[in-house]
Amino acid sequence: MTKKRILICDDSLDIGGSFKNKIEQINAIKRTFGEPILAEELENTIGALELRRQRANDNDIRDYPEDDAAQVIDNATILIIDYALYDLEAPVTGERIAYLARCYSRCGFIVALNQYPPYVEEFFDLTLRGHLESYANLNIPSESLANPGLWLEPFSGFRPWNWPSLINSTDKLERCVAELKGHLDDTILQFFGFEGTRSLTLPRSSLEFLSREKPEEMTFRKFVDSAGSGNGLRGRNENSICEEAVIRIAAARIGSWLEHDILPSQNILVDAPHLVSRFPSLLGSKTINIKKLNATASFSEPSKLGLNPIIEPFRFLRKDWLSRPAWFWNELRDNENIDEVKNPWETRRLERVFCEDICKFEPKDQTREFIADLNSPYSQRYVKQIQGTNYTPMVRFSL
Amino acid sequence: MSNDLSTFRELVLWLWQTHEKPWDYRNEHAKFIVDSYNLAASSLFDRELEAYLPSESNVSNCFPNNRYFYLTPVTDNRIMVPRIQLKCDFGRNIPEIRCRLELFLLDNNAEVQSLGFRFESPEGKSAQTVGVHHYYHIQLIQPPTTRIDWLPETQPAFPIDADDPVKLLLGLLISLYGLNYIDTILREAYHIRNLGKYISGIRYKNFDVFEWYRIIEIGNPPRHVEGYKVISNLNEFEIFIRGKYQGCNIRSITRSEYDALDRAMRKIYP
Repeated sequence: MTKKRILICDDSLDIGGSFKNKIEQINAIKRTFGEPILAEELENTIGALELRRQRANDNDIRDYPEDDAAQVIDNATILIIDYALYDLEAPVTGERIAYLARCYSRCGFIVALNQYPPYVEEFFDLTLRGHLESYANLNIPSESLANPGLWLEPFSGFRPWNWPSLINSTDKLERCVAELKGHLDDTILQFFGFEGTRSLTLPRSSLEFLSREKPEEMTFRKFVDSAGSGNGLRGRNENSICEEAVIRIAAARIGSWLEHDILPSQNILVDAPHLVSRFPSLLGSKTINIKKLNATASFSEPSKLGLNPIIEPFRFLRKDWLSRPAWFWNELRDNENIDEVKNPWETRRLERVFCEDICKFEPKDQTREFIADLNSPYSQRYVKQIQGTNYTPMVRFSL
Repeated sequence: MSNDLSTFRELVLWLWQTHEKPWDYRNEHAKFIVDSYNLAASSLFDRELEAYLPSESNVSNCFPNNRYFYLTPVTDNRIMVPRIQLKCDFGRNIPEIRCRLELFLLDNNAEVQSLGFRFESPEGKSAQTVGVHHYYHIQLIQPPTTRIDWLPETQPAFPIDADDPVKLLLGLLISLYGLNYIDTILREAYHIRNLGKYISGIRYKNFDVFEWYRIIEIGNPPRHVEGYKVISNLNEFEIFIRGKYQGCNIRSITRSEYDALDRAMRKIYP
């Protein structure tokens, strides 16, 4: 891919056009990607992707075709797909396109719109679970497309912390693809450093995504194989087009696993704002400076986050696989160079809590606690609760 | 796997499945205690617990230094957050079990305080010595939050009614949650092999319900009119007797004295 492009797929060119208008309002997007493109021949494009799948299964092709209607997908740096495609003749959903695009094209980052309730309106998902089952890299309501915080920093107002920064994510995904070349037969857990006692912190539900039998032996190649995990190529005897396709599928799906399953629990890998919530001493000064605290909620390199460099040896080194810097919690929680670990009974606690919906720290009494749907000691989280925004499912709010 | 080892392991895993996790405590005081010191950070996760418990392939095993198994808070009277840490060696005729029990609780000023105990298996005897701790016992240990220089950590070493690791663990649970907890275990952990056998060997379970023995005396010099075995409410009994025999004296007697009374005089209340 030479030129960065955003491709929008919708069954209605009017609605697709409205998505285009929304994101065009953000200058940085136009500067980076140019004018977003509407997929005008969507049925042909889907047909071409299905044909690629069929031909790959029949071992009829060994590379991405250069002359079919799916090329527009190959050229998309960001592919935006609406879930409901009722006006198409083919019985297809946005998720099916996401699957085909992920497995049978060179497309970059996939954003699926309106797949999960409450669908269109901007909302905050109190489960914090992400949607690992989806082949899109991100699932959001279409209203969120116009939120500048989805695309770039700095953040202001409503902006879920678990969103990646879309502009950065496209490059990161390509770097993951490059990093994986020559490593398809590496075991996944070893590649990311989940070895020894670290691997014991991974819950079964997370390991199950990699393999239902022996996750510790699962390689990237086997993961993608249709007889492997069931989370790469799907369906019996489904084949990949070529080695590059295997790499692209592995990079996207394992990236989603890290981003939507491993990181949200914050007890295997921990990101900066959750880390300083537990160990405020890492910010250095005796008194907590709110500006320094909020500066940790950023996707910048750790050197710009203001954290004590003693944590650097515990950094998750495959940094392009996550949208933000993260560290191995298992080692940090035992590291006696950290005040809170050395003197667990004399430590001060933060008066402020991290708000997952605005990426900022706020006084606890001005926030609302909720219990995220995570297999983690750190499922108790907080939101500022912005007026007019939907928070769902409401049952997750603490009583 | 030996019976002791498999039952011990299965019982600990059952406790893990059924006990509240520190991050999910429902009791507000317990939650406050956990949050005060970020105790959840030192909790084991499920696959860690499985790895650090003794097993057929690794009969000698222990928890890492800063990892604990947090149990459901004790909520009778003063709220307490209990956590345990295990070191086990089943490769010995009398398996070695060292179980630290630490309790976190709030004092009257709502400050977090702590206590520590060690539940241990016999510590051995040599040809020369009897072995002062060669029995299942409980000792005090330094509390986790502070150090008490004068704390007697060797004696007293209280004997506990156990002759195997499973009964030692059951004793710990009874000490926290009361004797009725054994009924809960029997009811809910019925699938654990041989557990019933271990529980039936616990003598705590074998105590009879209370009975009191009383004799009713009237007049001066006193004349015995009736002897009673009182099975339930002693206060109710006394009200009943004083209504029946005004001005009487109710005197305690031993069971053998009661049994020696004429059959016609021996009564049972209620």
